[in-house]
Amino acid sequence: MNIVKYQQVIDSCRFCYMCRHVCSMARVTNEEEMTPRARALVLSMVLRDAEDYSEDIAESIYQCCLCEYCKEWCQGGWDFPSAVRAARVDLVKEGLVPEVVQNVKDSLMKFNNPYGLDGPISSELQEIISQNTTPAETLLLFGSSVIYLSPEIGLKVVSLLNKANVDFMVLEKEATSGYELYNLGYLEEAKEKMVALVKSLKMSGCKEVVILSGSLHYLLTGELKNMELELEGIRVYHVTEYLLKLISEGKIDLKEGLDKKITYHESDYLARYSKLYDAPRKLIEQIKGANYVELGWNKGRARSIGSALLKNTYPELAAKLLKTRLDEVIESGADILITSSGEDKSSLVNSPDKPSSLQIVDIVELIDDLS
Amino acid sequence: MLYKNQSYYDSMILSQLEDKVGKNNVKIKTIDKLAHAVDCYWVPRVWVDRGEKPILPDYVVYPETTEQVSQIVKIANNHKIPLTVWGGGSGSQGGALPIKKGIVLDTKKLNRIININDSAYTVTAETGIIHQNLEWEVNKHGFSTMHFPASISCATLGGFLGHRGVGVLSTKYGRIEDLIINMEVVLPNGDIINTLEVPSSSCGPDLNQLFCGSEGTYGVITKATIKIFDEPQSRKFRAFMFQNLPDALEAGRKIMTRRLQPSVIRVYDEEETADLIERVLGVKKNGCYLVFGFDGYEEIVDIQEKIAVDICKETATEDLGPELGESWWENRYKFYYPPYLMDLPKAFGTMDTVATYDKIEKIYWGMKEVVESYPGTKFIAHFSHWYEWGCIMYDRFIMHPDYVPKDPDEAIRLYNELWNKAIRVALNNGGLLNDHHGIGLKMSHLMKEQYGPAFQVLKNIKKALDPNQIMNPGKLGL
Repeated sequence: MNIVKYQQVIDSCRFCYMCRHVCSMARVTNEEEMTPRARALVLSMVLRDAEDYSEDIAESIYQCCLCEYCKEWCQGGWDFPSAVRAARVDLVKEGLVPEVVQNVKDSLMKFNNPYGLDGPISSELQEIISQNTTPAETLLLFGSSVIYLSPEIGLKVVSLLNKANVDFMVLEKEATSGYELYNLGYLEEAKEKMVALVKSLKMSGCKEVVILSGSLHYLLTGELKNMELELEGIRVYHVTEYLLKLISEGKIDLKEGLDKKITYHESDYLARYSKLYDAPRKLIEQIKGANYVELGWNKGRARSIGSALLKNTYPELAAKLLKTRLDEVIESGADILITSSGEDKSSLVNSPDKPSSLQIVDIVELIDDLS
Repeated sequence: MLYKNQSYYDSMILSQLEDKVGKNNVKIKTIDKLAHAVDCYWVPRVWVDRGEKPILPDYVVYPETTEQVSQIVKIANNHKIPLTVWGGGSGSQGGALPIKKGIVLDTKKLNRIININDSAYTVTAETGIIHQNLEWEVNKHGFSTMHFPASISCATLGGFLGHRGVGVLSTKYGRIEDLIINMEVVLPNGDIINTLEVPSSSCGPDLNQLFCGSEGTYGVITKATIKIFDEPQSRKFRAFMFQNLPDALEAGRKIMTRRLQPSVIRVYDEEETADLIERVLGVKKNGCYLVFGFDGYEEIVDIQEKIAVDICKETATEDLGPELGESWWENRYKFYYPPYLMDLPKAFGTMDTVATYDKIEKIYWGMKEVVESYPGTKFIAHFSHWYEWGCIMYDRFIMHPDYVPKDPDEAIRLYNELWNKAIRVALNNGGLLNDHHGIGLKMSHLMKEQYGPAFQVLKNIKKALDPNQIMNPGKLGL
């Protein structure tokens, strides 16, 4: 069993309740079985042959949204999400993966996105992709959420790169990165996709990669080394870091101001995986006239709204997360909610709990509109 | 569809429960039941650690309203099904374990805050709310419950009321039963009652105090109004080292009997100072660590602190200053995360007892002698909640894994034997079975021994309220 490697974590968490009030899923369901300690308890029993992996256990393990809040909160330093990932690897091997998860895996393999979308890609974005495959030092990676859900962000980032006279290229066809597959427990398929991504980046001849996706950013800056892969000298920027660089170099000028109350929601990947707090905030600081308020839960403790995986496996749970985050935004009194992920923007905009008065905009869009 | 292994009778009960609270609020999968079969009591923990299966409830039910609680209780009563209330499940006495199976009534979906009264300085909430969430909400309005137990992040308001919990600042702000104003309770027959509006009166016995500490045996506390406080203008801590325990205890006693109103005093014995304090705070010292704190208006705090410092300096070997007092406050929850917390494969238990100042030290030495007569077992203690008349001793035994039998039945037998012998030292010397963790399953059998003839009062109330004995059977000696 793969979880044997995580016995110490599992045994430490199985009787510990200290993160239950911040666990995203336990918080929105108020159910004991959704807590990290409940999941750890059952895994500890699997380790001791007191329970066998089952469909019920599989469902519970896949209902963890992997937001890593428990890991962030833990004063003992335990990494329970890694044990969850390990259990998923076991469940894949045992053939116990829930159908909803299998569907997402199939979509990733077939369509390169977790949404089950076989296109079409926005014609404008497709045109940009077609026109910008010539090798250049800067390579722009959109990520599947921008390509399939929020192409307007892709158009805006291209607009900004053009304003800054950045010679950039894109991949003719962005394949799935493998990171979602990794988080779902499909290790072999994940590795295959990651190897292909690294190969395509190296073959492109680029010197730097600019990424719009938080999960891709974390994969290339963090997780890749754990898969014994490396980019060999290619510098990786999250788009917020890159735009900040362009502004500091005087290549982008924010001419317009914004007389609005604004706030910012960060994705799990930026908040707790990459821990990229400063660049988005420094970028927001560049906006003249805006009244910026932090949400009560921010940076490493930003409340999760779930990732594409949860949204496409257990949408009713993702909807609960979205509601609690939107409640927080409403409480802040902000006119505009800024996101830094196509996935998050799409989820928040489409939530039935979003008030009509609240404007939700990606940071890339905002910077382009004001420059 | 019948769930696997369910009889027609079981499915009929299931249907009734689902009818009252909705299908999504009744759980019958093993994984749901397992989560409610192990709490923080060492016995179920060692049981599952050794590969055994714990006792599972038949149904886990999540009511969302008081009326639903009432309906569930009525179903349990009609069919004489054991019903155990589960809040956070973080109790260390086995009080929330469904040892007779039946229904577990999990209160965590009863978690709304109903009113914050900024005139009377009270908050009314449903009792399934995790206390830290309640604290965060009242903080937004500039208040605090001042109830900061180690289990704040995992225990519910109802759990604290049910077990008479205390927070680290209880010395000034009071225990949970001192914070209660009034409460709503669902009785074992399903009736919904309220205690009187205010807790202080000459209108007969206090119903609040009847249900506080009743551990779900007299009913289900569903709403409570408790005191809230302004955040203090100033909060200061100071730490000292003493050569030995008697000197440190005497300093604490003087601070209390001179009525300086500290928010906290903690005295750690030499073993705990050397072990836990060093690991968590990084203070490597010989002797006994004492930390105290004051809060309120700065001018008053300064005077209170000055007098307390003078008291400590009479016998302290070292003034550690405010930093090591403040770091204790900042790290006050860190002690309870693994690996700082005691865990298996050790055998361990917290036998917190309470007694008057003239008796507490004798109990300490007596319990220490008994505990340490067991091979591979050490005794550590700190004194953490103080009154004008005495204090509580938060004492623990820790048995090295080499001396814990591999067979879980034998391990539990040894554990219970040690516990009984040690806690009887407290009982025989003017101490009580427990200060703030409750009785639960662990010490249920000792309640009559402790109370003597007075126990008939509690027993007869139980008979009157719960003639079918459905509420949390096997707990509290009832």
